Amino acid sequence: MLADLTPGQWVAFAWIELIVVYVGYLLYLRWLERKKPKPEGE
Amino acid sequence: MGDKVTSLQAPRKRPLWLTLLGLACLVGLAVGAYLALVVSPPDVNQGELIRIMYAHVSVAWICFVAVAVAGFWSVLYLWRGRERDDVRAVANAEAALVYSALTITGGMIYSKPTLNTYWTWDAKLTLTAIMVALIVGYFIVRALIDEPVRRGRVAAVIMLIVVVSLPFNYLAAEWFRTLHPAKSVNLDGSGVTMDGSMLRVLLVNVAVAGLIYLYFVSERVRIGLFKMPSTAKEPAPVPTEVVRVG
Repeated sequence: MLADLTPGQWVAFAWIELIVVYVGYLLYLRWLERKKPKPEGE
Repeated sequence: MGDKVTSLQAPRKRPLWLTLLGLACLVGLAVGAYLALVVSPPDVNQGELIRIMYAHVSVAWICFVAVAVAGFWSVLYLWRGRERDDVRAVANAEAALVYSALTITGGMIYSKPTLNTYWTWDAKLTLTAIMVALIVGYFIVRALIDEPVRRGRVAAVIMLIVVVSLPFNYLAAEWFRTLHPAKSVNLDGSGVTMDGSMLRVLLVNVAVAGLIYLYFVSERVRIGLFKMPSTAKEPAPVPTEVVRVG
């Protein structure tokens, strides 16, 4: 399936993957910022 | 009571410079992608596929930087024992994980249409896989150890092992027979085997990846310092003024 991609589609795949990972880490940071800290002793 | 709430909430506010840095990253990413996808000429051998190289090489370089900086803060933590150094080491270790994962997945996407395989267990790729496994191990160990000082020290030692692997990884394509292409830009000053127009696009994309790395780490450190137990924080700067206002 992936082997049938054209060069242009491979290029798009690589760049989209890069941006998806960047956005994913950004969302993780937002989640981490809002996450409530564990109470002491837990 | 009111002063405590104020002093705890203050670090939560994102400083203006960090917001501006985030906007610069967005603009930079758009410019870098435009240069790579539109402006750069196709390669004589790889054709349009050379446009993947700009995404792959830039994150690979920044991955090395993130590991080295994480190692730096890990050494400082082992030396001084300050929790802030551990927070900075974690921030860089997370960035190293993001960029090393991007390096491997981007490399696989680049490798399939150019070399007809996603993966091979040669020296360069295996060392990179070991590096990712060690960084994942770094976070597993952190999750398993409850005691903060021991957690920080063990994690710091693991990060130093990752740092030791960096030079071998960097030189693996020259020392061993590997499917990974030899370097086109040699940091030892022995030259650049890449067309100037492509080199400029690559350097812009490296700068953009570096800018995004700076943003990620700055955000992660800000959040990490805010989440740090209050005992490890420096004394609140203006509690008396807050009381006076109240």
